[in-house]
Amino acid sequence: MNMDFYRTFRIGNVCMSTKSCVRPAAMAKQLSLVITTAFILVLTANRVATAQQNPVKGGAAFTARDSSIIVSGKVSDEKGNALPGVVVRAANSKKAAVTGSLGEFSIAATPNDRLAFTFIGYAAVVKNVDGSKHLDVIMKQGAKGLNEVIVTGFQEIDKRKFAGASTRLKAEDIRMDGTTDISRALEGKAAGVSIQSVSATFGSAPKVRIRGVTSLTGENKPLWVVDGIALEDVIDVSNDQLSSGDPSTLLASSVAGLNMNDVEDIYILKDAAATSLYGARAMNGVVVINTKKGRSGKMTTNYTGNFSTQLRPSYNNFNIMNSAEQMSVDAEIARKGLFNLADIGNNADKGVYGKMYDRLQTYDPATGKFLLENTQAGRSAYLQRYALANTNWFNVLFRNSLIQEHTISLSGGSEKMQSYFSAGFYNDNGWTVADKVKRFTFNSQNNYTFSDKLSAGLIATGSVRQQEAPGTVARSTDAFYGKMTRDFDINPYNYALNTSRALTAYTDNGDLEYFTRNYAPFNVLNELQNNRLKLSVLDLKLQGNLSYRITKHLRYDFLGAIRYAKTSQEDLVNENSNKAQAYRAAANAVIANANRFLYKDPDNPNAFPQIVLPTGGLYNRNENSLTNYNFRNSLNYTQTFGKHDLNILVGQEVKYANRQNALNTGYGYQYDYGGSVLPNYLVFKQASEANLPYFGMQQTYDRYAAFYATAGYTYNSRYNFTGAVRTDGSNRLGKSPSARWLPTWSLSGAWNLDQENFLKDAGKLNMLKLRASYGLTADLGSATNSAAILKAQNTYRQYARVIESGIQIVDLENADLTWEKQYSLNVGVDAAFFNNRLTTSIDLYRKKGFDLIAGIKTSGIGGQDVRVANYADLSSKGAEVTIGADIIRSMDVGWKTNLTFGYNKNEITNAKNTPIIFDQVKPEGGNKEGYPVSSLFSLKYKGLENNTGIPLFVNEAGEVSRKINLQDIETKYLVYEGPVDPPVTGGFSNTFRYKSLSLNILLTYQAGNKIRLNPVFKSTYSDLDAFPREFLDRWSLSGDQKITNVPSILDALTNYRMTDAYPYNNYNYSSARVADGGFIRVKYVALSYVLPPRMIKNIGLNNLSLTASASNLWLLYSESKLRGQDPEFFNAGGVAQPLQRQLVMSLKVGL
Amino acid sequence: MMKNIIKAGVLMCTGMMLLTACNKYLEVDPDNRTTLDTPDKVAQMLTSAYPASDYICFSESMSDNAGDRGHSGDQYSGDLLVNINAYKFIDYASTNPGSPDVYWQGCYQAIAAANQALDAINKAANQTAYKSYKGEALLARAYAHFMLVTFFSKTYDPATAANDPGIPYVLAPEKTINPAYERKTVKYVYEMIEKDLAEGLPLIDNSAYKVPSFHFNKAAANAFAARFYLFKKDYAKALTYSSQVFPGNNFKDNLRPLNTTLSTATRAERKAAFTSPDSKSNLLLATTGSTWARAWLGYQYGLNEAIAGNVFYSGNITKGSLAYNIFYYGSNNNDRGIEKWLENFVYTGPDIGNPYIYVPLFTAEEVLFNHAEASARTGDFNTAMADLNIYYSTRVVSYDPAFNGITLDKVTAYYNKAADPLGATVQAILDVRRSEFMQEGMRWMDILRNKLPLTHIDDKGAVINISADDPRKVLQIPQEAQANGLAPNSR
Repeated sequence: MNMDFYRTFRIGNVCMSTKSCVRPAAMAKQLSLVITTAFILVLTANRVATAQQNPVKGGAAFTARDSSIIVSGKVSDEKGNALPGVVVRAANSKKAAVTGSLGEFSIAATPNDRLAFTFIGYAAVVKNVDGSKHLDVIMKQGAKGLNEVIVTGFQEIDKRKFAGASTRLKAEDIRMDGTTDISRALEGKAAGVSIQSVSATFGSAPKVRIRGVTSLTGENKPLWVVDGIALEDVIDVSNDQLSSGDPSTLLASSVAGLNMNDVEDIYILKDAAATSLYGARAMNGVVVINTKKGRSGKMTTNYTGNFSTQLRPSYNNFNIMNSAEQMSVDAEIARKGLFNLADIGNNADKGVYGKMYDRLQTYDPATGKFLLENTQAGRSAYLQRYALANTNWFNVLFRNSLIQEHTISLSGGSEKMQSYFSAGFYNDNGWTVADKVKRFTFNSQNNYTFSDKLSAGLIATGSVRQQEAPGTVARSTDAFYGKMTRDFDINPYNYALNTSRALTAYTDNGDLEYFTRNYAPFNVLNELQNNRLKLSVLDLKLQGNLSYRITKHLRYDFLGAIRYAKTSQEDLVNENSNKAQAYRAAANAVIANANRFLYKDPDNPNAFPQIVLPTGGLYNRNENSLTNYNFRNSLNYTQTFGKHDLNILVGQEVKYANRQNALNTGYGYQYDYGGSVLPNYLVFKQASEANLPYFGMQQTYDRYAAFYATAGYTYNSRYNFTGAVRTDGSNRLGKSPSARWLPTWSLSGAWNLDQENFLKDAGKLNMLKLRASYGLTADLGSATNSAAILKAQNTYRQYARVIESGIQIVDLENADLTWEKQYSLNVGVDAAFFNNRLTTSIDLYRKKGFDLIAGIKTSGIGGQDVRVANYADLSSKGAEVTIGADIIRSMDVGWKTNLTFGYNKNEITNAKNTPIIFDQVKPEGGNKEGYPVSSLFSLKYKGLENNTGIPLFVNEAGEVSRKINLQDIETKYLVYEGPVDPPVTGGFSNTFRYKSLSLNILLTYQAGNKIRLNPVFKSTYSDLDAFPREFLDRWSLSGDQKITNVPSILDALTNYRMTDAYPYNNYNYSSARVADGGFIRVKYVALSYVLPPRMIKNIGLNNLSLTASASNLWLLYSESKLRGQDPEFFNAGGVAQPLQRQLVMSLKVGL
Repeated sequence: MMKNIIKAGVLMCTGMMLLTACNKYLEVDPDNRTTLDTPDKVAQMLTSAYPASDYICFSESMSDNAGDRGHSGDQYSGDLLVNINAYKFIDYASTNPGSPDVYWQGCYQAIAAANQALDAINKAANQTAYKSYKGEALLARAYAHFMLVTFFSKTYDPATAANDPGIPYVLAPEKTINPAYERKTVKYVYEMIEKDLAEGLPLIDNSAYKVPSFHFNKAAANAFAARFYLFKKDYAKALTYSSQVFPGNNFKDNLRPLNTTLSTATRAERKAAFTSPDSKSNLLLATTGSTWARAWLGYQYGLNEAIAGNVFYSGNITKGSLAYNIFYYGSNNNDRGIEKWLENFVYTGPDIGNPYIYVPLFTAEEVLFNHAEASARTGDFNTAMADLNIYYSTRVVSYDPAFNGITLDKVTAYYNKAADPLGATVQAILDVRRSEFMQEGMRWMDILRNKLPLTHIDDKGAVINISADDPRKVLQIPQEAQANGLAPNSR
């Protein structure tokens, strides 16, 4: 019995009309079986017919009907759970049956018959009847079993014939309770798949890499395929953006709309052979997700509930000064003249000292005194309160949240129709006071069999998400000062880490206490309440497939899907928020001139800056929508000639995706006055002069077509050869037919050594296969200028009345533009020993990327000094090892272990881009010839200056200096630190079982990468800033430079004389502020208890289990230099949050 | 079996039909990009056909308008090398605004935009609808090449132009990465400029522009032609074109009202007025990404006390005092300047963005001076004197024609050149040009055209003597262009 069976394993009637069917007598017997046992036959007539035509060798001669006996029994798995849907076939009687919902079967057989039990995902079992009428069978989960298939999304291929590199993960094996994003659940589970949680906020995608990166400028994201349809992201978010903390990162991941409980299994396709039918989209690997399908038989109902809490972070894990330490540093800063009372009054940001100034200046007519007496005693008493405050911002801004997740699923059906329906609800009331998430999902799948030739399926899925997050705007990069800035950042995690603990959230009376930010009163709690981000996502998909068997060997398949997704992001900025008030801060002429949110009218050159938002707040909307169609037609031909197996597939695919982004900035929305709008006309005048339109809309159009063919040939079940070709066409490169089409191909072979006679009887060896593949894959690069790109852009003129619409050249034509391509070679071996108890899989690969897009500096004579072109080369190599072992496997006790290891090293072998220093030293890393993609470089730190404690570096001219031009293109004096992406990743999981109790522990690890420490140094600090404890070791006296690397705090005069040097900022980007990124994390620990069936049968339940689990518990190892900084997390502010410690109680009930 | 083959065949045919349909399906543009398929879009394309970077910083720093101010440059000026290296005649690579490299970029970007427009016009069915834009594109292309050849090649000299290396004259949009370009000769470049100018100028139609002051309108086109022929030493043509700028040669009403309206203006108003599109003097304004407005004051080398005294306060032919408001700033008496530049800072992020200024590429004053010089050089001294009197009538405080009016005799006497009325007149014009265009970068073009020598003394006292034919007067070809095959200028 080969896998052909499973491809035809389809609910069918018992073939009432076809001539080649079983004889009526046998038919009647089968039918009666169906009726009497109420079990469902799920056989195709075809299969029965085939079985009849090819009697099993060695079986007894056909026996008369009256000599048959009825054999019945029960099929269960190793844990004793009943297995419904197992196919039972009798060799002699040619009968077949299927187990019912309780795993019971009944079949007519001869007394000396042999019964074969087969079930997807389980090792086949063959038992001799030996005259017995009762037979109980235990089937073992055979993830590495003989009859496994590889689902590529295009085909289902017998694993034995498959020569590509792929990994199958069953959803229940990778399940981490409480983790909602399926991409996060892959961490440490599949060798060669690296998952970096750059932010863990709900909806934000982790950085996923399959076998490392393949492109210098592209997104390097794998292709996600759900039920055969490639999943399009609603918003394209680039590599760097993923870690930016921008609101769009919460909406970028389409996988976030998928309920983990609906997933059946996941295939990760890694090499050219495995991904061949994805051709020119597969350069970064493919993740194929299959969702659950209905099964015929009794209706089953399952409920899964997760109740979890995320633990509040604590200062114990960080390195932040308490308020007393803080105030003593502040006192030093004050002594150094940076909090001069005369200057601080008009500062944009004011903390304890600024407030003291204000109070010293404010006369209270009621008492006839100033609010604070300007005496030593008065000032000391005032400062004393804050020195003792020791505010715990984590307690103020975070809470131990409660997250509930409920999923209910119904499955069942008849011969002609099976259905699966699930509905899920997720509710998170927020780890911080500003977060909230609600998600609803549903998934409905129905399969229909119209006749033995025609079958069809329908899938409808949908998800709705409503989320709240702290108000934020997109981050911008400022290469001049060398920093990433974000206006009005109120990210609670960032705030807690960066705000002085001497500040207080409440006054002594219990009212909110305000300090000053952007010249306006600021209290973080007030701000989080009045400056919010509301996100909503609606995602609907309707998918259908149709299969028509033209002949026994030829099948036509159609697959089509329509998807509509819409996300909207609303900034709700109340009139009482600091952000709205910053637009009105004009207390005096100094502030008015300094406040950049005021407007200087060019038509009135002598006037003061004016307020453009006199009343109300802001209501900004940003909406993205996606309309996506996918259609696929294919013909599949399968034939066996003796020892020759042939399988040919040809097909055609069309994709259509329109994306729209619309934005609207609403000024003067009065939240507290019933939502009336009172805008000031000046705001529109300003916007039109600054070319910041108050609304906008952009559309992108993605058109894609492809033709593909693949042929597989197997000789004698031992030698397998597969070849595939595909040609892809896309409109993305621009309106030039020359670049449009790209053919790709792959060749692969596998040798099933275990089938060879010399190994066939090697007792300990169950499976041994050698694989090799070579092929060309590709991806669309970031460039789209096969014809010149011209874009409309208003002219930058000084007066609104002379602004005209203009057109600019964005990119000149590049007639040679083409796809990014890669040759990859993979060799692998799969083996199983000791009755499949030890399995291993080893892969080695080498990839050569070419025609990669990169920038190149030109003569400028064509009109563009830096052009992008297909010329860069990238070579990479790697190894992957997976070892699984069933160390103890007995009825009561079990111990399973699984180790994955992935190594990937890449090097840019040709790139002529000329990066500026800032591109190379930023935390996300940069690209440079001769180094890996995303390499981290540093300014070379040369110690502290003798008499000032100011840090020194090697500058762009090779001299030791305070000053570095971060925009300079001379990067040869930078120090290479290492790659930002870890070369080594993997996981180690252990599952221990004692009777119904099991314990699962997963460790994940990564090594070999470098990370930049959080930028905490500045040339001037305000009295709002928190200091890390490193500052206790700071330079304070001449001579300290010999014992410390922590720079001094500048005095006002030195800072003034610094002119255009920013040494403190440079220090953040120096070799002194880099740590090793390697870690071992206790990712997940789960303790489960499955209630014994006899206990729950009485209350009408099929199964009931309880799991207590914890994720992201702690780092077993990480470099001490990190001092609490999470090595995966980029603390970018905005909506970014680190991985949270989470405790989960999970309940599963089956009816 | 046959039936099955037919079924399969039908399916395959459907597939083939889809294949042919595919190419049409894939014709859609991937995003909101545009194609130049209407005259209006071509007009919009031409908004970017003017150099968007400035020549002021390097040319002013190289000229004798710059001297040591006695302090190092300050941080608000950004990159200081654009000033220092120009002053010291040091070749270097730079990506900062105000450098020769960036101006080179800006000119070729403008040329690319003009060529993109011309390409679209040549492919259009109805050529007449595009006529005026073709004129603008040709003039814009000619202008950018003219400025490049002026700065990056030897100044036109009929005797050597056929041998002096020019700059690449680009006639079509670039379609591949780094194609070969060649310099050819100054003579060739001048011929090409003249060709574009001759073809384009008659096509110009002011009514085609929405905002004429930012486009090659009729007056600006003629002003350009006048400047070009003055450089080409074809004075008859220079006279012709400078006479076609204002109807009836009414210069007076078009000059900046320095001694009248502007004399009582605030500093903010002066700044706004100088680059205002409403000023009749500004014949053509270019939107220019530049730090000049914020930077000139902080540079080490610029207008200082000595030069200001020499140019503005050491007397003139009219014996009147000039209405220029030379300000000095802060405690340093050397930080001199005139409020000419209003910056428009266009934000790209919270604290960052790009500064823009609006450079008058052609002004009524320049046309008047060119008209005067062309008249004198063609023997018409009366017109030259009349022109200078018109000019002074708008510059001299309380101008009195009887007292302040100048004559050829006064000019020759003033310059002590009784035997050389032409030399005296040209010198008089050069002097008014220098004071009028102070801190506008025009002085360097006068130095080039008139082969003037100059001397710079740096902060260490080192003397840099630039002779009349000094090779350092010719800016070096940018390194990246040299790396891609262009021959460098001799040093």
